[in-house]
Amino acid sequence: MKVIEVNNLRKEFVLKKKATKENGKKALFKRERSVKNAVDGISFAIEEGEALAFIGPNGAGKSTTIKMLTGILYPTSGDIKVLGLNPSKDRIKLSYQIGTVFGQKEQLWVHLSPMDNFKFFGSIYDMKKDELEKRIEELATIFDIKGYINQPVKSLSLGQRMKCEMVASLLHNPKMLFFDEPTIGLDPIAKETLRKLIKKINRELGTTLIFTSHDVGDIEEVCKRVIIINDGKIVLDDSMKNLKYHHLNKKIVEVNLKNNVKIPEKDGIKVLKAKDTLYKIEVDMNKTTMDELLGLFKADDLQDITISSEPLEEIIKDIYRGKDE
Amino acid sequence: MSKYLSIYRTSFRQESKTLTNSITSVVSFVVIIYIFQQLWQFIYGGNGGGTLINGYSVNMMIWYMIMAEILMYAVNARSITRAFGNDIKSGKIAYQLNKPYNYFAYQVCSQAGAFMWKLIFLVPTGIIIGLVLLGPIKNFSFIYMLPILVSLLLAVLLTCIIYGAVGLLTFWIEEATPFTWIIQKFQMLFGLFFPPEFFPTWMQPIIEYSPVYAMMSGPCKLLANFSWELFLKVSVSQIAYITLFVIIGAILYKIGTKKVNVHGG
Repeated sequence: MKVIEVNNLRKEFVLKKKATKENGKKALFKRERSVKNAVDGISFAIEEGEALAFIGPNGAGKSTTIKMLTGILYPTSGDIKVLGLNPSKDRIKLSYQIGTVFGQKEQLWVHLSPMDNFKFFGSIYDMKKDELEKRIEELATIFDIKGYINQPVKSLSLGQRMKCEMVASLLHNPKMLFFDEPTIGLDPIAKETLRKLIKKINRELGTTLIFTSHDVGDIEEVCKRVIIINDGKIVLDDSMKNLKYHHLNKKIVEVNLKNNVKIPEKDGIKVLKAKDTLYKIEVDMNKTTMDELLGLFKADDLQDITISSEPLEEIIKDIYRGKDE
Repeated sequence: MSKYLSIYRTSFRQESKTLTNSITSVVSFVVIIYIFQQLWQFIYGGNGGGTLINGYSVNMMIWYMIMAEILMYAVNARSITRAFGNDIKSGKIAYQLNKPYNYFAYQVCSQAGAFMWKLIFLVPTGIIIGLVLLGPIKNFSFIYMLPILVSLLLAVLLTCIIYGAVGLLTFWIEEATPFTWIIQKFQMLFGLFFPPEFFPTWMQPIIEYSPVYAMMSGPCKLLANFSWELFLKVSVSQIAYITLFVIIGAILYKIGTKKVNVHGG
């Protein structure tokens, strides 16, 4: 079942041009305006229970899209249906069925404990006392926050606070969760814990996830599908598996040779780094083969070799730069 | 309605954790009352000796001023406007608009909850300092406490709604606090420093029909010189202005949410 359907969605922002020496007097009375297409006619659909990464460089239009999906921004044109509702017309109705976690903003009352906060959010979502207590108990166990559930939020670490933010967003049992950079600022261990929990929410509770992040680790670990948006347009909509398979044509070969040799640059073979007898070479498998590379040096000259795929982050960067075509 | 009570209660509890701030505020309140008491006694000439200025004895004037200062200290007009501005500028509004409540009502209840906590300190302090400096109010009955308290709470609510409506202007303009500043100066000039009777005759009806009367002069006059007719007049004015500004706020909010341009997206 489709939970989100977006058709030809557009959002224009009208920007006022700055007054300059040339148009100063005119601008005093009437400022010139320009129109920026933040989102430029995008269409996509999301199935129930999917974990989708909605990514793009800064200013690509991803946050604008997310804010239109949650009813905060009104689209200029196009259709949006989220859980069968029109977000701009039914924002309050929709808010009972969705949750949001923004890594850089907090929704908790910092002088109060997470428990007080959860009770507050329960009343906001019209939850009954028994139902709320049961839900807090369930989520506190999943998120392992019982140890500090009664401490003031301000005394918690960022990782602990993010867990509590997530519990607060999940209390009303939303069918869909929007994450905007949930792991920003967290240490690697806290990031890992949070990612596991997000995966758990998706798998065990069946919550649909829409994930925005610049952290490729988040996306790689949590999401099964990725939509990349740039300049307001969708430039890629594919499964994570396909993205890796189709775009992992580049291999990184690191070799340690006995002697210094001159490796000639060929089509598909690019020396990225050479230091003494250590070489880092990029091989484009669409243009050449590994045999051809290995043929460039003698077998008994080879002391050590490591072959790895190009990191997903580099692939995504290339897509952002438009090098993918 | 229960969720707005919950917002009010939670904000009250959050504010109750900042005890040091509350105590500092009370100390400053006591100092200000003492300064104004000295000032008014100087104007009246010693203890006044029964002198009346525009119908006010020195004691009535100081009780008026105690109530006015309670209102000024309890309700931080700028913090109301800034709460809207900060949410809109920081993008936190995205969290707020995603919740099943009316954001304007949320902010008004949240601010009112925080101000209620301050009143718990300011009202007893005001009464004690008034009794110590001036003694009991002439012809005052204990039964008047309840209507005066009702009037005080309505004044706090109305002030939150008015400055909240000003805060909503942040949907259109970068900074709404200058508007707050202007309104606050009107509130001080025509309510805090002097009762309406101190102004020229032609100005008095304008002040008495203005929001400043419902926000400040009305409740202050009730403490200085209580009468049931005055209570009725002040209450009608407060309820009328609360209704009017709720409507204005609701309209601004409805239009504003369509204009929202969340920073960072």
